[in-house]
Amino acid sequence: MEDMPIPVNNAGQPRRSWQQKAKFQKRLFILLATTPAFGGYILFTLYPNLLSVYYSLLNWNGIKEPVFVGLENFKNMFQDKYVWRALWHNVLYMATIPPLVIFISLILAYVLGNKGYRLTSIYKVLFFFPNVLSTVAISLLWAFVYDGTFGLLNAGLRMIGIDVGNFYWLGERETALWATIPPAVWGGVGFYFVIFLNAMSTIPKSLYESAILEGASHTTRLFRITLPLMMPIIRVSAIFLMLGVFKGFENILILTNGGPSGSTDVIGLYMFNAAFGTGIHNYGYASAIGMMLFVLLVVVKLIIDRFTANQDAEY
Amino acid sequence: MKQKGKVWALALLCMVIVISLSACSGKGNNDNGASQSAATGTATATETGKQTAESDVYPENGLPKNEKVTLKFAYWENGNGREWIDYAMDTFKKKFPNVSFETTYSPKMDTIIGTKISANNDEDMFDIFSNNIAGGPDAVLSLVEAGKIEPQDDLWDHKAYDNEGKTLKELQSGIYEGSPRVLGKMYAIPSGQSVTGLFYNKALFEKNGWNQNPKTWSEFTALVDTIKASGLIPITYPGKYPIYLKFSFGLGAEYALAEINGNLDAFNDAYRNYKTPFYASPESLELHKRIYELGQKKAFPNGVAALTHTQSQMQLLQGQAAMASTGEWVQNEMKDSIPDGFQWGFMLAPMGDKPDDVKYHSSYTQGGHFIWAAKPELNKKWAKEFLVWTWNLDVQQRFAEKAGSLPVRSDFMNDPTMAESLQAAPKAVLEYMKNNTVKGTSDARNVTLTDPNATNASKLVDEILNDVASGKVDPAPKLLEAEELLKKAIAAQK
Repeated sequence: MEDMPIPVNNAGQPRRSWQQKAKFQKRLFILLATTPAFGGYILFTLYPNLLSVYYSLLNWNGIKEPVFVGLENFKNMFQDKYVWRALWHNVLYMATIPPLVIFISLILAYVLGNKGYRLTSIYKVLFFFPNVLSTVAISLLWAFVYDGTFGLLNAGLRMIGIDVGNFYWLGERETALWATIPPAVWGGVGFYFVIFLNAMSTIPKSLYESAILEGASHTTRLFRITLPLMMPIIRVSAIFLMLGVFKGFENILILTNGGPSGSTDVIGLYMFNAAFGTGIHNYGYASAIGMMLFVLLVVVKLIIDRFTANQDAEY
Repeated sequence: MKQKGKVWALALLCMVIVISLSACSGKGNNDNGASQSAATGTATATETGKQTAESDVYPENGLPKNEKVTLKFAYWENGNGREWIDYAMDTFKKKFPNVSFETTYSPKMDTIIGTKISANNDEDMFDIFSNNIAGGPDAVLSLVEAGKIEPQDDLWDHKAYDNEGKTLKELQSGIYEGSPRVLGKMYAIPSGQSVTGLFYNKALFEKNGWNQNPKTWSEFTALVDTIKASGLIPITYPGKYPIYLKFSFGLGAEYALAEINGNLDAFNDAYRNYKTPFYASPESLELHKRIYELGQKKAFPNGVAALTHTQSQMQLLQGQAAMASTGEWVQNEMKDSIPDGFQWGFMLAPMGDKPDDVKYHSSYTQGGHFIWAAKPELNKKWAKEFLVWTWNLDVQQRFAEKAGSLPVRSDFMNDPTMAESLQAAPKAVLEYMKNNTVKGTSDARNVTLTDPNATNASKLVDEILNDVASGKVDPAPKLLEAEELLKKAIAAQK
């Protein structure tokens, strides 16, 4: 290929072409456009996270001079029975909340998307409504539902002939953990319902029409067409839910503060209390728990990918 | 490859820009610090050089009139409300117009302060801040050891602004001795006092003929049985925050038991200095055994672990529970929900078998504020002057009327007209103290433990408290387990 002649200015020096200027301008634009977002990421995400790797090697209560203790915090963490107890509660939440949210959201989306109810748009708003409430509002609302004296649940049970007296659902070790699951599910369903509903609406009608012509039942269409085609979205939803459940603790903090007797303590809350709780503060130890949480979240993500990656279908 | 290089170059460039910008902002802070130091230097020079004319300083405290000072003030907005402190600030500003306040009010002030302390930015830190900080006595001790807060012992010899030459020490009775000290020094002069214990509805007790002043443990348990038999909850507390149970069955009760056992000094030493036996001390074992005993009598509400402090105090106000474990601020805190005819009464759970045994309450100095040591000298001086100002009788009266707690000035307490302005709950406390031998104790410590085993020991004991109070868990084995953890923490600390 023949090289283009390089234009020169009056002084005989090569003149920058329009393309070269445009290239520079483009780069400048990209730089200006990305710097705020990238800067925010560095300052508020990357830098604190890297710093907490360093903190995890310290014995530091936020006041005195930090003391470098190497891997001592990690050693203590693995020997700490409260860490394992909190993780076990996280496992229980992960085994219940994401499947329930996905299952209920799918059912609602399927029913509203296929049955053509007149009030579908109102139902959409109603189901999505909990999603616009903050976790604090949802938790306070459910705390009233579970109240022993004035709670809706006890009153509802009384109406159907079951009298449990002034039973505080969040005040007993046997029920508290399970009682914290419905608020999380209720608060999460609306968002995934809308996502699934929209995903269903993008599946070509022709697929269903062909299936109907071939005599496929509702169930067959659901399991052979709808679900396989939605699997990528369900997988992403499962990842979001799993990770959210694993690291979230705000609802537990408000509903039970980890009680009674630690029966609802989760790893995020344990970490938070190690750093900011009412007892002795240890930012180093809390950071070590944060590091473990990070590793576990990555592992969970990889496990979900491993078991759901090959089930996508295309159309 | 080339494309990848460009992306990396772009990312690096972004990073350089961001870091440069943050560095510039950091420099800005330093500059501020420098100018502040300069201001401090000027203030010091003004004093030491005696260049300021006498008319340019306030005769009451010798501080300059012409140097404007803004005090960053962190006020913990608790059951005492904010009216009294607003009044104190307003009158102070009127008297000293060159001083102004930048006040932050919050019920979660401990969290805000904790974050600012950890950020360790002297410029951003409050000049004066509530002594209720996240991490409790251990955090306070760390602040002292790190030299972060200013000792205030000199204020005892400071003359009050409104009492013809008397010092604060001369204007109090028992407050000086009872104020918490850390490593021998006082860091937050109190402007009020709080007493915790069991609050009840006198009208309800009178109507039922219940014993309003049980003198011994057996009289107390008999009272619990009587109340239980009437169908009411004898004692309520917010199990979501088990510390409220300790307001009646906590450190004060352990001190009472220690005095009865003739073990006061050893117990005091073990508590203040984290020595063993602590969780497994005879006093701790006995106190938890008694809570367990009450739990088996169903003295506390069902599902107590789920109760918030508002729910628990509402049980008292609505007549579902006979007594609530809380502090004298309860009346002010619940003022909008108190039904007509409710009359406040107060008692401590007696630990002894003899009517004359000394009863201890957990005493908390209210309105105590720390002063950040790394602030300019002039700010610190004005901060101290403000704390002295809160001892003025008119401020104390506001504190009694609007905050609902007990003032610190003895001339206030001894003046029947002034004492009349106290709210009913603190009056009930004074009434109880008049009729019984009562001492107070604070939760200050001289040693801090940062080993996770210390946290776990404390967590273990806190976690079993609701179960013990429900009569479900025998506390002794758990206390022994906590003791072992504490021993490990002490050994690790060494």
